[in-house]
Amino acid sequence: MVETSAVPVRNPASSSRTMDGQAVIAISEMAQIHILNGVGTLVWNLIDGTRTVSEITDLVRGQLTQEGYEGVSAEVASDIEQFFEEMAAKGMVTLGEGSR
Amino acid sequence: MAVTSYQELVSRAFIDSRPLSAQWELTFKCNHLCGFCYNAPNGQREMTLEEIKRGLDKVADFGILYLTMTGGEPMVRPDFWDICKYGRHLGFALRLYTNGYLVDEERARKLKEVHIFEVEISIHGAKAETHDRLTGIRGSFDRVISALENLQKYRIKTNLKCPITHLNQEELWGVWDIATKFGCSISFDPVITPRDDGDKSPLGMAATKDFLVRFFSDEYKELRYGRDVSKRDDTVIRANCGTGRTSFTIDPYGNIFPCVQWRRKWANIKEVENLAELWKGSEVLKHVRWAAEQIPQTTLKESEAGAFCTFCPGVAELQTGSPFKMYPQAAVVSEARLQAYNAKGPHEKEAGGGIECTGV
Repeated sequence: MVETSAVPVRNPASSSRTMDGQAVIAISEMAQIHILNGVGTLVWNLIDGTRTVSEITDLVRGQLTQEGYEGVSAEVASDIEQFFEEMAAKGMVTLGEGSR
Repeated sequence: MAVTSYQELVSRAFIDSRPLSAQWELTFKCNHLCGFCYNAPNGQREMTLEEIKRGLDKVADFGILYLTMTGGEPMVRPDFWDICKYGRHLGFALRLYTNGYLVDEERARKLKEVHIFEVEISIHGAKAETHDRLTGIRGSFDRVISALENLQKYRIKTNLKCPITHLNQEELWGVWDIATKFGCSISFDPVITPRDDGDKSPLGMAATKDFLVRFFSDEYKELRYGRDVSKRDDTVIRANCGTGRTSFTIDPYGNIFPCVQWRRKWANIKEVENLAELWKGSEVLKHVRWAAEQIPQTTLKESEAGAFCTFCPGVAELQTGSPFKMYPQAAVVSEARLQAYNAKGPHEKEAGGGIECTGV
């Protein structure tokens, strides 16, 4: 279970570019490639090593609401937490303890 | 939240002509003397570190993900590590094409530190005498083996590349064993090309046609990762290859070409202001993309073997003066493939050969 106060940090071995709204992420360890969808890309691009999971979730929710998506409030938080778990399991991010 | 496969991404980049990678020949200087090398240095001044950094800024702004550092031998540049670090600072996934000679343990460790994405090493035989004869440097084979040990130690993904020549054609299984021992993937390249200045002397090194027929038969299927020889399938992607679409090549003087083989300059990285704009508007690139679309409908329709041909318009132009004209090496390789294909039973014959030279 991901702590919402955790601060995700991108794997320093990762490289990424956003193409057509999709983040393409190359990780040198094991030469993996990951491609994210629009929301995943939004999350990835908000990981700056200082924001917490909770802060990123709020920003994503705000962005999606601004873009006119309806009913995003309930599922987004759990989806994003699950997404961070997946990314951590794949070595794309580490989830450090929040200092705040 | 992962939705698209990598193959789908490459196909889309291909169809949309949106490059994912750039090959940068950092120098033409090399510590080897390979007789079949295609490089043709012309004595101009190679780019300085500062010029390369400014060029990398432009390539990063263009959205390129993979930066392949090649040469010559890129590691002979004294500022090689500065280039790597700056490339990483800009967020590139770095690839390194090297002969492996300089990859000692210290340098392998440094490659790990800069998070190199993958390394590709050229190997020219399974025996030291063959490899060293082809590179012209005594001890170079031992250095490749040592490089593989060092890269394996630091768990750096490494691919081997073996151009097939008549000198090493009977050693490919031994080369395969070396790749297996070190956990590397390997690709065998049956085509030797002229030098970039048109000098055809490397062609004398090519594998024999008899051997190529064997290479494309089931005898060597394992070395082709189980891939059958099959006819081209142009139903999804209609172009012959990825030239001018998915990547581009920069030489040590800053000249930018549609790909490593087709040396039609479309810009110079030192002079160009906006790569994206020029990528769309360049008449050279429009022409090579058009030519790549025509080739499957023209050149490759001229003979039965055309359906099995890995045709390179860059080599064709260099060798014959026309990007559409069949050149001897492509004809020999495609005939060898056809012969191997015809030797198969009817149930084994399927279409579906994809484009081999995507450039990514």
